[in-house]
Amino acid sequence: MVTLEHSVPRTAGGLLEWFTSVDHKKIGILYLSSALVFFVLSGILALVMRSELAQPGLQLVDRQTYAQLFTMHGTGMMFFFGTPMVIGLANYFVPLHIGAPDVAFPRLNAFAFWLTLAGAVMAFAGFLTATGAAAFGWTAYAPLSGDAYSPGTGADLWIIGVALSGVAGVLAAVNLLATIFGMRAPGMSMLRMSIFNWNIVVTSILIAFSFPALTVALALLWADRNLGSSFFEPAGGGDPVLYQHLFWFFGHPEVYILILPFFGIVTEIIPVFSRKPVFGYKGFVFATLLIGAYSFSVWAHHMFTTGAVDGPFFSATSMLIAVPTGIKFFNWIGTMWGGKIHFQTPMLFCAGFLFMFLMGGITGVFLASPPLDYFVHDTYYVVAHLHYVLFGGSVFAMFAGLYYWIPKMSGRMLSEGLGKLHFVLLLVGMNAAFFPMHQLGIDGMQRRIPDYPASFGYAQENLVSTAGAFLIALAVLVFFINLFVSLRRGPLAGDDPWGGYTLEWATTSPPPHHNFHRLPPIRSARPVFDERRENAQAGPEGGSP
Amino acid sequence: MALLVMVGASACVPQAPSVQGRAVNQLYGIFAVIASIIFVVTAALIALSMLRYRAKPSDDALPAQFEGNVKLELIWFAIPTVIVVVLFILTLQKLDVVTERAPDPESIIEVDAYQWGWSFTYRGEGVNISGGPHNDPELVVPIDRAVAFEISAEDVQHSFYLPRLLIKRDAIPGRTNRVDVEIDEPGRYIGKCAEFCGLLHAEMNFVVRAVPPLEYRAWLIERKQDDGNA
Amino acid sequence: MIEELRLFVRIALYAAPAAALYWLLSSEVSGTWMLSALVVAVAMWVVSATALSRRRPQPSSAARLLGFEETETESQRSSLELAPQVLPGPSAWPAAAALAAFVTGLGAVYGGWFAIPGLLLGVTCTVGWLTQIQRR
Repeated sequence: MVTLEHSVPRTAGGLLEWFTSVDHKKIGILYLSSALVFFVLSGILALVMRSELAQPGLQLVDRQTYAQLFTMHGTGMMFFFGTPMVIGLANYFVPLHIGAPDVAFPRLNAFAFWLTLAGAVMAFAGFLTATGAAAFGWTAYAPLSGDAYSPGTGADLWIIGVALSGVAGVLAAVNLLATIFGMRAPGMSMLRMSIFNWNIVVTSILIAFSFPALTVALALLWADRNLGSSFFEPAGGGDPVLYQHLFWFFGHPEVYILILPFFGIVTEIIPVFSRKPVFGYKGFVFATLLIGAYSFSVWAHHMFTTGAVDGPFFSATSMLIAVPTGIKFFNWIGTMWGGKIHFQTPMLFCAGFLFMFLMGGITGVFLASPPLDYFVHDTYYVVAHLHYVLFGGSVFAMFAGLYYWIPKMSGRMLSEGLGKLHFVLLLVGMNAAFFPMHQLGIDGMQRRIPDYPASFGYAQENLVSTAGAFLIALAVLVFFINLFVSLRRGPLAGDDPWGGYTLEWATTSPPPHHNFHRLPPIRSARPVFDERRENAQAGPEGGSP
Repeated sequence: MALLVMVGASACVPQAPSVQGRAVNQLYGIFAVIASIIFVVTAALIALSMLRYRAKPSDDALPAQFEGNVKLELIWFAIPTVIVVVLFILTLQKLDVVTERAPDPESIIEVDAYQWGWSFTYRGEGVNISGGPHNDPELVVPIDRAVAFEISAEDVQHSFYLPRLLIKRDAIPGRTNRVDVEIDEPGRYIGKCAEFCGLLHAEMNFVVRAVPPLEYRAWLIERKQDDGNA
Repeated sequence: MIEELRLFVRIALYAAPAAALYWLLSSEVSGTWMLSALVVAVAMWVVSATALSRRRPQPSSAARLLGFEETETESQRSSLELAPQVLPGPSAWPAAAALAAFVTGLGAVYGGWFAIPGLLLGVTCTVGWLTQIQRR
């Protein structure tokens, strides 16, 4: 046991400390806070859209504003909430899980965060320009995103902003990989790492190899707009489909970047609250690797209707993803089976995750079949599917992770009562908001429309959906109230409030600057559990305190 | 209950009045049944494990600490693989129906999408129908005959979407997509643009009116004369 | 062979046939290039992972290429001792460098004028960052 007090550097103190800190925990909190701010901002955009769609006719916003709303809702959620949330959680907990004092490149880590924030601010700054923010959808399909059809500066701000945060994502991913490969504590072999860490390994690889495709797409798009080139302009010999290939080669791995870490979180929480080890550790690792590999060869299932891609190839690879996902589901069930499950708030959110993601996963298989995709592509069916996956899946697991880990980050427990209220409201709201969208899509309501004639018969489902959206907003409000109240007055968490397994529970809450005063011996994937059990066994016999 | 929801959802897909659309109907039905079974079984297992193994108050003893079972894992690796292979083969069969090109279609209609409207040209007939928001173009096609749509766009990407016929294909500048449809019930079917294409994307509708073949020929002749006089 | 290295070999083993199959089925150029680039990029990672493996004494074996088994060395099994590590102190340069990137980025939107102060700030940050590392 070695104490490390002598190596703790001076800190600047006060607000300046947040600007200058290179501590992975502070940067993690910065990532999480900025991600939550953009979650709320993008959520408010969605509320305005839902209000507009509640009944036929244009009541609240004009068409141009509506296009900006859905563009920035998607952009904000994918690039400035989802990805930074993943990287923030990884930033905070990867070094703790592997018993390291910090990440491999602490200053680079800080740079990656500030660059992400700079990109986010730049893209959202489009709202302040005379012509408004980008208005071509978060996918920015060319040639609609070209200068002829989207002339405003908001579009250029969007391109550069997203590109900056994309570069930041690659830096963060490389940093995380270097940390995991090079800084594991003695005894922490790769196959003793937490499943969360394994998911971060695969996620980082996905980021490192897929974001460059996005950067290329954005660079060419910028050149088309500003230098008069025509990579994507058919008039100049370019090809709009090329843009889609580049974008979705990034875009589909991005979906897994936004779900794999949350699989990891769920796989951390379920065993702890079931009082059992994870069922099939190697099965989880194998399934994660398989999903990662498959995710690079499925991109064009977003492009079936272009008629320019090989339907059977992408249909086969996309459907195959159901197999490793199935392994995960059954291993989660196996983990709970025979356990003693404690339904505190983190576990409740995991339960919600299991049902909601199952729903989203199953409609995903429909979309992997080209004949069915020709039918429902670009309709609200797809909107329903992606929200079941990314809201019912990722966001539920994110809240599970926040309820699980905020006691570690802050030293205070969140309120269980408010947590359960939050869960119920979110579950009801999410199903009210997104389930009717399946039917809307089947009935032919296409995406990205601000209005629909009353004669199409969409009004009822849309009204229910809007009500659901406001329930979601209420649920999120309850979460923030919980956060503000509990961080001040919540009961103290202690080192290990849940009976955790992984190394973050072996240190104080919040952890000291260098993370660990001492590490338990690492002989399995559950070092803290092992030590607790040894102490319990030694306790009655040896009588040592 | 969930089964009812899913089967209900498949019933909510209206029977399409076309050969290609019914292939989609059938495929959707099979997918919906299999998906319902998977959903119900998995959800029931999740619910069962949660209810059966929830902790009882004041029971602090550790449950058995088993770490996995390779045989079981192999089984639930194999089952989804088999299901997916079946679904893939079914998909391939229906994909052929949906993308098949009639050797000798009754008419070839060139679809040209633009911001914001549609232009339909009957190849070799000298008939053109076009229009945009508040002036939805209405094209006429024969029933019980294959009609080919050759879809392209002038400016940005659009998508040719006939919700009731369960088909959609993108209109991409510089490329042509062909979709063959054989409608077998007379009626007026609304068409839309499915790919976001700018300001009036939501209003870019059109109408396909399916009529008996004789009526269709008569309409073509009449229309040709009108265009000639104009 | 250590697990980190196997990780990338596995991805290459997937991406190479996927690229070949994709080309055979679709003859589509951009996707084939991207899948092939994945193989090359993974090979680069293999190099760095090999460098990593040299730092740890590990028996390597081609037979374990696809396995999940890891050999355990004496050092991994043993102690709780942490080597003292010096953590870097706070630094304003990362945030300033991000600001430089932001201003330079504005140059790409509003024309070159913003790029000049952006690049100047960028150079300052690089120099400041490097000298700070030197000094510690």
